[in-house]
Amino acid sequence: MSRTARSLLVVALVLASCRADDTDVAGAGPLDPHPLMPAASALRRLSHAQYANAIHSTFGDDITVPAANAIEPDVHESGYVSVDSSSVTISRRGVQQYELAAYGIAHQALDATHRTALVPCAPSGAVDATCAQTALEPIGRRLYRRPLTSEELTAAVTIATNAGTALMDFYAGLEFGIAYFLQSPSFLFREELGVDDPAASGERLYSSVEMASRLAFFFWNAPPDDALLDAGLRGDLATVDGIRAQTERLLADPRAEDGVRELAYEWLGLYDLDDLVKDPTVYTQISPSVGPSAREETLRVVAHAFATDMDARDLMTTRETFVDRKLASIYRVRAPRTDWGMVSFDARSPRAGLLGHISVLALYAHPVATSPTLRGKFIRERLLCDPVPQPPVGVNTAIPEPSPDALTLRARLLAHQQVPYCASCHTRLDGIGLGLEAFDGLGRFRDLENGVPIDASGDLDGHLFHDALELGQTIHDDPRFAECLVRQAYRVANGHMETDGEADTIRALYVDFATHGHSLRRLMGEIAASDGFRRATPQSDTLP
Amino acid sequence: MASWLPRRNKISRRAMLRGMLGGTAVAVGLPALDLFLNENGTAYADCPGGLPTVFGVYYWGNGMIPALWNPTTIGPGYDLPPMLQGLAPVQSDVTVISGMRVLTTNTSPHGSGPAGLFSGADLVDDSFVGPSLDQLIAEAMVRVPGATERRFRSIEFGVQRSSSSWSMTGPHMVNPPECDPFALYTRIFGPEFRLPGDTSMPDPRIALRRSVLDAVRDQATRLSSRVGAVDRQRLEQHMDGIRALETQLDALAMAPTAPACVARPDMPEMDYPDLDGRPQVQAIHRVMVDMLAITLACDQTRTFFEMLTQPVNNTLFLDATAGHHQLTHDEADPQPQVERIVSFIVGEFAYLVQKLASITEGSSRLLDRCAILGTTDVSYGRTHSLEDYPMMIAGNACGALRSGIHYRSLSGDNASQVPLALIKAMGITDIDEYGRGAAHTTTALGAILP
Repeated sequence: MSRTARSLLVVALVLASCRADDTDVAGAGPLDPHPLMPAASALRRLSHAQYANAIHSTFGDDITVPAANAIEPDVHESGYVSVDSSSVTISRRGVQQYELAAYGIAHQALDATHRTALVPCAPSGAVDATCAQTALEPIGRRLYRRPLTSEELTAAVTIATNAGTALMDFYAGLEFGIAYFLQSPSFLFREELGVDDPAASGERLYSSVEMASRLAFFFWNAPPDDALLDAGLRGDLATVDGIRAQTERLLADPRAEDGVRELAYEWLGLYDLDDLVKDPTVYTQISPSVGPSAREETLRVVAHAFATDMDARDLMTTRETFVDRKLASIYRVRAPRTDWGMVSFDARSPRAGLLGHISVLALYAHPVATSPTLRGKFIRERLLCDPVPQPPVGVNTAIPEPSPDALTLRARLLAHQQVPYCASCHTRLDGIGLGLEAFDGLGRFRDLENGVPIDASGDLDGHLFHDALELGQTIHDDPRFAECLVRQAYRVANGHMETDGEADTIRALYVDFATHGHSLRRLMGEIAASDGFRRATPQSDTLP
Repeated sequence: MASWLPRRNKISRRAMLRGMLGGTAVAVGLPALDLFLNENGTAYADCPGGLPTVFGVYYWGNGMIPALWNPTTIGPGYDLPPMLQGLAPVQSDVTVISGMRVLTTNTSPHGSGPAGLFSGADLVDDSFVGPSLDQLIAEAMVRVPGATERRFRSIEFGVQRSSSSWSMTGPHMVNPPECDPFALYTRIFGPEFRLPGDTSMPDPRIALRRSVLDAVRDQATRLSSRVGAVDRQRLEQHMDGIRALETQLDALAMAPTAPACVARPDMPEMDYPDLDGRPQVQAIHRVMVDMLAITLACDQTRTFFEMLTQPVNNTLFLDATAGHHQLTHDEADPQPQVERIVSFIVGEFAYLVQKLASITEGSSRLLDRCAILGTTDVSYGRTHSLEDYPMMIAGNACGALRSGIHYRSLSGDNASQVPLALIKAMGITDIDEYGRGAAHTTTALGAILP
């Protein structure tokens, strides 16, 4: 739906609710004064991680899944892979890649070591339709995340038996049946369309079976397991109580870490760390492993906050983090004995919280230098949900070279501040980003820039700070930080940018979050039980 | 990465049709002209030996510097300013166009230029409103009655690792570039590829794969009946892709007959890791181009789009002391490092031209049936200007284009005249205008047409 159409719809429904209020005043019956207006449902394409998790949970953890660049790429145009999953399609190249992947996976799934687990019957020959059906039915159910219709099952069995005939091999034939599922839109897209709510006429609700998928992908970034799918099929997930009964289990499961990591990954926008560009003559410690390691550090820290049920705001101030040997050398802390270990920066360290992470500091910087602008933009948009407009065109963007009068980037950036046209945005960005100037473009601590002591003081919307530690504390204390985290978790869970009609739902989730210790665990459970997660508007039958 | 850069495949078919050719009607299915068909029903202009024309784009990010780019003399034998020095060995095959303006509203640095040139319109919702020029041409070339699809409707590849591209089938429908040479080799020249004269029995699995695709398409149709209009369009795009793959499988049964299709290209390395933190831009580009040349010689596709680098990229080129984009903005005048980088990029364009010129087909060269547009996202990188837009065209599309001249517009004419001239040069007769709004034109740039 286009933005215009969406806002028109919002207007129309707001008007409708005003009339409802009038009715209420007239005594016709109680009505929620701010009814939820859920967004339209949409098919969501599996991300690479979800695809891999689906393959592993269906065929075994040792199945090799194509690399992220060998199937249709994840997209984060809106800032979130989850949100774009609701609008992406599959390109011509993507169809070919999924086909190649499908046959590669099907072949592995039916090799000598895996076939016994997958095929519970002994085929009577190259063609055995009964045995093929016995094998394909549960596989299809897992991959489609629902029972197959008889038409779908027949199609798969027909493919398998025809291929078995042509190739004179039962298992070779079965590979084609599995490859068929793996290329199907019912596997590659999540079919979450909603059904009429039996309890409220005119309202739509995700069906109990659809809720099994929604819960599993949100909590585990993976398809539902048998227990969850069975609960869905029994109808348990049509009610809030039924959902809560399952969310307890899902959150206690080790797979919940995958869901939290996905949430952190999208929240902080840590997408481009695999292709981090840094000049090795400036940053001698750079190597291709730094970006992925830095991302892993941040995801581990957030997962740890989840596991220990920490106050999520403390992510901005905690001294604890996780390092491998590479990161330890950059942070100058003791290297762990195992691949990864927890370390604690001591009380005199200038580094604490997410703003001290190499992931954030290196990603939001240039290949040879820091960028207070990019770092300020990260803080505004990702941590405070305060959007920043696009830069204007047709302006000379040159920054003065270092000179005796202006040796530091802070001094050189004064040029931005002195032109009112530039200052209107740059003050809001650079003024915050300069608070991280004590960390270079790779995230290493430094006292001096060109021999001049670093000044990392600044002002976040009226709150003065002197260094990165105080900046982190300022953000920690800013209610916008917690609200912004809730908002983004809601976007990731639902796969769309929130509409005006969801403002109250998000507000309620934030109030709950703030009054319950800012617990990520609780937040995820509350999102899952919220009407915003359970209800849908049907997609229009006409184009916007 | 800038938010406006198209990364996803999201569609609105109505918008696409509306956007096609800038909102003006497209006559589809006109009778083919004589020059447009051969006995196989394939579409092309008047090339020797009945071979088809080829259209391609060579794109790089971050623009150039007009003072170091624009030749001062016009016509043949134009002078080569610093940034164009690399064209020296291929100058007689490359036409340089300067002084034209991309007339879209310049609201998105690095985005408005490509939107204007490749789609003829402003960005809407961070996307082109219709297919990009390469896709428009690819589609037009198979629209002719009796025309057959090649194995690949188009090939998109890149050097900088990314899934973003300006090649779009429609709004939000990006064709991601293949940036891994080995993957591109496998896709085109894998075991299924057949050289001329290969009379072996096709692999029986090909027919089985095709029947699976039929069943997948049935499933998409079933799902389609249960969803709303937007999702239905997304599934249509999926089905389009399935049909394209079916076409590819069908084409495998026919070995190519092109005269210069004699051997597979050399297999590329499995991996091209960064060296000292710098990507192997030249090595990757050249191995990609070597594969492209044989792909075209074997008539596996007739359209390609190369994203050498992305808009706003901070690639560390050569021995540069900062990333490319940062240099364009921060380096002091006269920006010697930017000069070196753009000169290098032009040199790699020349490599592409030389490679295609090196393949002979009877009495002519593969290059002679090509038209390859080399361009970028802005003119002057520092200011994101869209004035004096840099465009190079290699090849003459079998005599349909003038080669080896410098044309300069003295009045800042509409750059849309160039895409329209290229469409004409491809022998496409059912498109008579390009662009919408200020960028709309019905005039093909006559100066580059014979």
